[in-house]
Order: sequence, then structure tokens, then C-alpha cells
Amino acid sequence: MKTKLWKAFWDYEKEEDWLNKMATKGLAMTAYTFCRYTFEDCIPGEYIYRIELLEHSVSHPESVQYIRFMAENGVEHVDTYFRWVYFRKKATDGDFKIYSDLTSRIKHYQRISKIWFTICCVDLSIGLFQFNIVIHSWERGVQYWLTNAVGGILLISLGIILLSLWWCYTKKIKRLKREREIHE
Amino acid sequence: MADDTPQDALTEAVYYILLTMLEPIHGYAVMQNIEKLTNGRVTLGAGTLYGAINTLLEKQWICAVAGDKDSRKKEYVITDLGHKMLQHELVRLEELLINGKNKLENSQ
Repeated sequence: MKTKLWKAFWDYEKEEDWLNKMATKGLAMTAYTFCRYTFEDCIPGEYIYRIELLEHSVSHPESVQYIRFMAENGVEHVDTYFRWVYFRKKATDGDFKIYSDLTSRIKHYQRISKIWFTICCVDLSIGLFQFNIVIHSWERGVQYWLTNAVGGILLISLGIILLSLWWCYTKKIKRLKREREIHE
Repeated sequence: MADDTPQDALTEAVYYILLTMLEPIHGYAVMQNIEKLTNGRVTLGAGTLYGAINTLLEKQWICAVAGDKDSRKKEYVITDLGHKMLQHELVRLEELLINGKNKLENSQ
């Protein structure tokens, strides 16, 4: 039986935890499109899920080669959303993690951090541009500037959330780099 | 990743990958072998293994084996250069072990 659920996550690790919790309840995620998850029934605890942000688009030869390598290692490619990929592996095969070394984990966080920072910059630029329009549309009447002001406020609020996300990853990277000074 | 100069330490993952590749082997078996060799202490992530294999191929420490066409899984084996690097690492590890043991014994 198929189950559809709507849910939004800012943090992919929390999303991963949630998917794994669902799998322990007997619901295995099979598809994802903008905040909508599709689940199918499975044996409780049958799969372990992991999410990764690829370096390139999913159709890029390197990504294709990587996903093929994962398949050779018993890792199933469940779905893709932009450059985000959902992987799963049978729990009977043992522990499943994508990266076991600090350097790869740092690189992965850096990829995510860069994405959030880029989106944040674009978002804030549009937000500020909106405010510029607010000033210029002042003479044209209340309706014009009010719509632009609301739009601008929403964009800037989103920008602040994105900025905090970027900051969160910056801290995680810093922590791992410090750990790498004494551990491998 | 360590440089090609012999005195640089290898990462634990690279050291074990090279050890398992003394015989032709495919990726999944590398992970299983390492886990078995270390009694479950070292579990290699598939992404980590993928990155390491690509770097080692680039450095020509390992090479892909032209295996039989029926097998979808690619096999890899250590090269002479990789073998040399492994030997250097062994010497370095022995030095670490001897120094550690001596210093600890003397301090007791």
C-alpha cells in the first residue's frame, strides 16, 4: 500500500533520521517531490536510508558512475531531487553510511553550505531589490508599495533562515576540521 | 590524501584498501574484507571507498582489472607503485610501534 505524507525539512540529517524512523515502523520511502514523500509498506527496519548532495547533477557522467558504484555495493538509488539523492540499503547487510572519514564529511558539508549560501545571496538580492521598488512605487499609490514591501519582507525573512542554515554548516565544518587535527 | 613522498602517512582507509587489493577484488568485497580484518572496528563508507579508489587510480597505486565481461562489478588490484607505498607505510608503522612501546615501558 502507498502512503503519501507532506513534510518539510531544512536539515537533511533530521530528514534522514525521520526516514529511518518511518522505515522502522514499516514504511519505506520510495519517492520524493517538493515536500511530498511516498512510502510503501516494508518489513519494519528493513532499510537504512541516507541522503547525499551530489557534486554534479544526477545525469552528469560522474554522478552516473557514482550511482552505479553504489548499486554494485548493494546501495539502492531511491530518488533524486535536484542534486539531492536518496539512497537505501538493506539493514541485514549491516551498518550503512556513505562517508566514514572526516575529510569526505567535511567536503559534503562544504557542498551543502555553498548551496545554501548561493541561494541566500540570490534571495537577499531580490529582497533588497523589492525594497528599492517600494521606494520608487511610493508615488504610484499604497497598493503598489504594500505588495512589494510584503514580498520584500518575506524574501528577507527567508534569507535570514538560509543565512542561519549556512552558519550552522559553517560551525559543523569547523568542528570536524578541529577533530581532524587530532584524528584521521 | 597523502603525497607520493614515502614518509607521508597513509589514511587508515587507504592502508586497508591497498592491503585488500593485493589480490584482484571488487568494491563490495573490499568493504567486507576490511570489516572482517579489523573485527568490525573499521566499516568503510561506500562514498569514502569510491573517493579513495578514484584517487588511487589517478595516482596509479591501483588499477582496474580487465575482468570477464559477464561480471558487472569492476575489480581492482594494487600496482608496483602501490606496493612500494605499502612497504614504506609498513616501515613507518613499525617505527611508530617500537617508539611507542619503548617510551611507554620506560615510563612505567
